Amino acid sequence: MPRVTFSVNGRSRTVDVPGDMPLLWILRDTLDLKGTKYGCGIAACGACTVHFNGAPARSCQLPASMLSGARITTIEGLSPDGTHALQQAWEELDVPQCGYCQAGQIMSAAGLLSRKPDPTDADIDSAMSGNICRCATYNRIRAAIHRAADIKAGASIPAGSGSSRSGEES
Amino acid sequence: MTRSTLDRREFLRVSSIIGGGLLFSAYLRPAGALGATAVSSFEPNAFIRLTPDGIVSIISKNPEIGQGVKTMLPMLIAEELDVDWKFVRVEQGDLDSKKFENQWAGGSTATPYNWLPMRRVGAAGRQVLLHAAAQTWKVPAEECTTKPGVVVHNHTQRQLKYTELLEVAATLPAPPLDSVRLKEPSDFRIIGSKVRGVDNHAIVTGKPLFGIDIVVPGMLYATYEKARVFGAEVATANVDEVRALPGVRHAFVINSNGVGGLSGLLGGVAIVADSWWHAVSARKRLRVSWKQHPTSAESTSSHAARALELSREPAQRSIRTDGNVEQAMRQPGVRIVEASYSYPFIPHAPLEPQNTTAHFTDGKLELWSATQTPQSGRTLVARTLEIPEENITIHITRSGGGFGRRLSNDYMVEAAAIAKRIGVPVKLLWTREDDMRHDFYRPAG
Repeated sequence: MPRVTFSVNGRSRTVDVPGDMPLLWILRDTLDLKGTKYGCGIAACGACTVHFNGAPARSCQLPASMLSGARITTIEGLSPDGTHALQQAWEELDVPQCGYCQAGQIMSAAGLLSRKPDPTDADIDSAMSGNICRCATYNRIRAAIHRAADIKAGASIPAGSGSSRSGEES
Repeated sequence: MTRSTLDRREFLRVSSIIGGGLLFSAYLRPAGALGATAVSSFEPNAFIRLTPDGIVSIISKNPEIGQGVKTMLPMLIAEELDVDWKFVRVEQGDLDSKKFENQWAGGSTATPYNWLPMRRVGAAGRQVLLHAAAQTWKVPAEECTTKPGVVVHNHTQRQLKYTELLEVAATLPAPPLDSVRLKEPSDFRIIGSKVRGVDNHAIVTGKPLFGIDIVVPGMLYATYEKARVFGAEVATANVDEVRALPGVRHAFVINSNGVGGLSGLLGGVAIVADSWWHAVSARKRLRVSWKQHPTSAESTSSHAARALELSREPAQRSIRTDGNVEQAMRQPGVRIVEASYSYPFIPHAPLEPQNTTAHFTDGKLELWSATQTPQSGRTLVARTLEIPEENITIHITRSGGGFGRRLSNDYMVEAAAIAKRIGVPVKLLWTREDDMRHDFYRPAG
């Protein structure tokens, strides 16, 4: 098996995996980064979206053989402490239902905001069309992207109710 | 007795049946159970734990499939316990029918079914804290009330925080649930307010939450090939060849024993490997021939042809008749448009493919499963594999969508069968294609 070295969330990682093993499975099962999700394996759902050299890409379509020297960012590395504007907006607007697609949604949205800091609805629909939400949270996703754009532009964060959290994060 | 509540008499009966050692009853804790030892927490029942740091841990008993019960059920408890929501930490309960009774997700019934039982659970905890304060002050409990996290003596306005009452509260008996006094809706502080999903932060930061995210030390990964038609058994399979492929540890045929019918364990070939990628890569080299089965001749096109054929036969019966259709059709100027409509079988397609992680050792089976019906899943596994139900532990994980698909536990029993065969922890994960091909579809028409 080939050894491949690339960067994940700013840290250099070397893995020994089959050359055709997709980044998705390297992240999830080799590097134990479970935030990137498997939904279809054929780039049809967007659940596995990460940033490949700064741009959104479907990690199920990136084999190990293409990763040498690449710079990968996953949902775990989007911000140091979970406070990227999109993460804040997603929590504030209570976007997730089942939540399974949301890491991919956020990574696609982050790509959009880095290109267009103040996207229109049409920009959002176009950039997000490859990300399926089976619970159909699309309206809230769109609202949250607008909200994140506002947060990035300097809007304040209201201290709403519901700051309570589950035990899953400790 | 209804199954929705467990009264004190029933609790005592259940306790005596199992030898009186049941500290964590469905709803009640025997007086003094935490007794003489130093009290670090107060657990009025199986759902609630208050600790000196002010944190209120509340267990959500039902599977979370995106419908929000992991937030909603604890809200009901927290409301009646009268605590500040920001100090609440929610934990997912394992399957435990003795503690939690019914645990399933389906039919949009969680709120009506749990509206009173969960509120009573919270109210029972509040009542014990109220009595603990009254005892401390040596005043009648009726003179006391609560505000979030605090008991107040009405006449003197003396106050004691819940955290100051844990030790005394732990020595007091919990009241019968059907006797507790519930809040008036006008006094609700949490119910009716906007409360965000308790897992939101974990979700947006990519924390492991779902069945597919489970890791058990030493775990292997499995894929399972079934016939393209439902229920056909394996005739032959090149398992020896597959077993020799890179990373593959096991490859074997599984036969159905008929338990659970088409939503039980169907025949197929399991491939277990060091990684899921190795397993599914090896599966591409798997060659299986399938035995004939009554479903072997069925296909989407044969169903469509038969439906068309039937639609051309005279009507068998009339379901509803309004007015005189024949006459209306003959009116001048009426234009008749004829068309036929059909729609296919439609899978539920939750975004998280079906999966269960299983570990069988020393006759005991431990499962981590994204399921809507863990109780019937355990029964199916027990009957199929002939393991006593009490030897099966099920950890309920968050599901990446349910939509009714996870009411059936076919993937759970497959994982259990594979685990029983190999004796080490194994995660069975279906491919998307497996999920589309082996659903319990919405009927075509």
